[in-house]
Amino acid sequence: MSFLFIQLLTGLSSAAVLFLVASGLSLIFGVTRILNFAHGSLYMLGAYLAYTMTQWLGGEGLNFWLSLFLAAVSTGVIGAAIEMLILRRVYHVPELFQLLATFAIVLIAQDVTLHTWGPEDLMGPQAPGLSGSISLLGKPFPSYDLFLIGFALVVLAGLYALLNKTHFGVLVRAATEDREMVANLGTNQKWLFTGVFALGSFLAGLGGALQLPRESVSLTMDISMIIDAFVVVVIGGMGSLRGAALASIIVGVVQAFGILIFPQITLVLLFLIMAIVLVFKPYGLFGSVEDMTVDKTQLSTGALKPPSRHMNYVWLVMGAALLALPLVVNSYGLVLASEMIILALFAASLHFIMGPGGIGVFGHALYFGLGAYAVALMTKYLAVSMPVALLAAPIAAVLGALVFGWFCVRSQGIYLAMLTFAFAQMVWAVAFQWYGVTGGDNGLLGIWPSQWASNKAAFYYFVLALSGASIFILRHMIFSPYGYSLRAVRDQAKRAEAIGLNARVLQWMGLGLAGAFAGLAGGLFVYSKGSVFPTTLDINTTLDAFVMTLIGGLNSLSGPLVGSVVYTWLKSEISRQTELWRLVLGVIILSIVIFFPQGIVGSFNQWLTKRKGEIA
Amino acid sequence: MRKILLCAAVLLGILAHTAVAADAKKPIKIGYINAHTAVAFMVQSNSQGMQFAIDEINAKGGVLGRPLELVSRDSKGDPGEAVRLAEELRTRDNVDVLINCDFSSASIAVGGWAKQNHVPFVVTGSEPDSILWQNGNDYIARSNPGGYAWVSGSLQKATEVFGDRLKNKRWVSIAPSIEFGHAVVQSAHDQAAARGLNPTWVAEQWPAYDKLSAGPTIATLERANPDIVFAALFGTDVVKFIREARKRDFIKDRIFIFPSLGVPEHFDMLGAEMPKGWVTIGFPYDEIKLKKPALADFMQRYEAAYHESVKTYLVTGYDGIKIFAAAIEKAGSTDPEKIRVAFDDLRFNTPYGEQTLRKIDHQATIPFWVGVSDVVDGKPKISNWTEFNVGDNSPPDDVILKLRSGK
Repeated sequence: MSFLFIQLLTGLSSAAVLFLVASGLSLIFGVTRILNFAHGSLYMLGAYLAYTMTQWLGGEGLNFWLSLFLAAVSTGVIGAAIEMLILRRVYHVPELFQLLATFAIVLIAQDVTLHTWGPEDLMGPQAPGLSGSISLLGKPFPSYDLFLIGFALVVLAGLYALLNKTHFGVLVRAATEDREMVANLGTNQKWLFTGVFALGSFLAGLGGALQLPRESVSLTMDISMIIDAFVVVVIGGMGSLRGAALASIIVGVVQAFGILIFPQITLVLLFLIMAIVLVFKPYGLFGSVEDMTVDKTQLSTGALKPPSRHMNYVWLVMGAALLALPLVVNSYGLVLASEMIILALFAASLHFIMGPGGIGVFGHALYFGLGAYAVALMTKYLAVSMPVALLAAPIAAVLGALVFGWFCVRSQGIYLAMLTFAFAQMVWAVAFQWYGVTGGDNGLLGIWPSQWASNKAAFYYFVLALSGASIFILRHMIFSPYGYSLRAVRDQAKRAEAIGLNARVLQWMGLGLAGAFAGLAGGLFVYSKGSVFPTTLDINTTLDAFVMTLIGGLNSLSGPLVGSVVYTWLKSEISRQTELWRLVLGVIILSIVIFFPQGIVGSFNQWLTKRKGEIA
Repeated sequence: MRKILLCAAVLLGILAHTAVAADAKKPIKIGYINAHTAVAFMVQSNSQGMQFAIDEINAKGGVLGRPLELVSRDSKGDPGEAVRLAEELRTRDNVDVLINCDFSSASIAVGGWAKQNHVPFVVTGSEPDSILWQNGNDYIARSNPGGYAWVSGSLQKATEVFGDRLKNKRWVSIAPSIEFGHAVVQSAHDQAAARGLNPTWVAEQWPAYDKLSAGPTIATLERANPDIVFAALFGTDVVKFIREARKRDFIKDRIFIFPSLGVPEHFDMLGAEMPKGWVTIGFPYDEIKLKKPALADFMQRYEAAYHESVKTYLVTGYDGIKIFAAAIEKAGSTDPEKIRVAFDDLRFNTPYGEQTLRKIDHQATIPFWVGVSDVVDGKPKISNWTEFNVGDNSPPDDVILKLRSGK
């Protein structure tokens, strides 16, 4: 009994920190509609700043608490600066681009932190007076954890009062409900947004600073926290304070007891909770459909046109160039080219579902990884040949896409994105922790192409043929009756339904189709590496696909192809030139989002049209 | 016409001469794949150790008269990316050999690639022995001690310190759910049984690396009421574990065998909070150097150059470069097949004196130290330490050969 009670309290103390961070994230989303990926970076910054402050002021007595407070305030100021300098410039671009911008901030923050505080973990002081434990039901319990629970309750009460009793709070709530109306009523939105962002950042910084007595400050704090915070906010309902509070408690407590029952699948559990909640409450516990009135046409404005005759010539020339490539480049060039082509297929499949499909998927690594693991497991355990194993890749991915997709198409917008993210993370966790079958972090090795394709040039042609055909089919689908129906659903869901189109089924099929080709890309990827790792399923793979598709431009057919080539090339070249590749890459992505929100190809087309107009 | 021919001949002669001279001076390139952005704390000291070795070798005229050059790339800790970098380093940057400091999954992946592409490869920062055994091949060598040796030394030390208090007891394990954790815990199971300790393993925890939820995990371990805790945590998880274990009174009256605790990269950080009496690997350099003049000399030179103290992965990085220098010298060329053969029983110089690469698996049979943790003047310290050697703390040769043959 006393054990269960202690475990419950332990879960609540984890919930306390989660709540601080997640409530800030939720507030920011509620008002600005930005899903702030950089919230984890602010949390990490809070912890580092707290460390530095305690070094300056000394970690004794009141100075300790003053240090934490100053760190949180500084984080709030930094957050406000980020909002004013960067985010203000991206409010007009589509939601997913905003996510991309915050991801760029994460990259920049990682390098800035590394170079400011150095690579080694730092250990701050214990909280004065709270470094011991007190006895509860005969068991020792850390007094600091108890303090955290109480403190989170105070913050919750404070936030509640702020939102309900002050003018600022009224504006925040009003903006969460209806942004346009608040603007029409003459409120200065700029300062409201900055204020909310500063408040959210302050809470993130506070959460980070309060970790100082519990763990060492390290460079990986940002990503591990942002994923947890996302899960909490999505479970609770985006923009809802009480939702964030309740979801933090659920996540904290379930994890505390989960460790007891399933020590092997600690990672899966978090995403399982999220998936279960979203299956029953597609908008989270306290979220509502009204919050999610996203203008989906924003994702891809204007109609896609079939390629013109000129464009077809361009494709022919490019095809010929690709065929001749092995004559020109060395074996590394071929390896890089094969990888680019595989990733181009991956990006094209994501483009299909995000562009024409209008579904913002944020877990595309799932299908890529399913295909990859299908190939690897078939080869490893059934010893099948390459063609058979490759056939299994799209099949496994389609099955996954259909099963997970069925749940996904029930929700919309950010929730759908997060649901796809949850499923991807779940499968990643399974691959990572199911040691006996998947090999865990080691992955499965020694999966090389069949003899006839083992030569690098042969493999390149094989990849080129399969990916080329797949991309051709995907493009063809866009201009098939099915593709037009899908776009009808995207642009005018109600009207499309009125003429008898079944939106959900169409979208579901779209996910299946995109999944199949992503799976094939994953299968090819395994052969290009000779192995498969859980990283094919993780958030970085999702982000890569996402960045490639968006920087190429959603609103053109060649966008994902150009995006994947440019991004893969940029990434490998920048990391050759400088250790600060994250900083450079972040700045480049940010510039694209701010200056070319249509993506590279989209902006090029715009420029072309404008020029034609001038000539005419 | 004759003048032109003469000029051409002279020009050709100069060109040919410079070409030959350039070839003699052409650096031997070592491709360095590291998880700089994933485990910066390890890679920082590791890469400094390598650069230090290279500067030292180049100042003495290089290897075979050619200087060494390090070409460094960030794998982000992603094994797939590490394989791509191996390919890139080999074919685009024309490196002669590869070295790394990365997650073990990346080391294993690059090891497989090295065999496929015939490139000698030295591992300097991955403990799992499967790199050399189950997944091993002749192109790989390793400069750091493996998990088996760590466990063997730790259990030996624990037996010395605690004697019969280890026998017939309740054991629990906690290790990250990555190859490193699985390998070390498996070794602990096997070796504790082989030593006749007759352990009963009553609970195990496998937190995700870098994501330990210390409170609930410790409470769960405590519930199993263990006498002995076998831990193999790393990095940030170590601090979380120790702080929480102390507050929850988990430490009292229990024996802790925690091989990875003493890695200086996180050992020093703990300061006065270091628990006392835990069995761990350690690097009491200030005491070892009294017995090893080569180490004293190395530390003095290094600290003068970098103004930083000597750390574990620094020495393994330094040794890794020394292995290549010795192997290339012995092979008489940078031919990969000759280097592979030169790895067999290779003798190379380290700060601990001359050491050897074991013939059967190319593991460096270097010394390592195991003692118990202690705090002196508010600083963590290893006391009661003993020197062990990797060579004496390995399975019998036939077991290793069997693992390597995949049977």
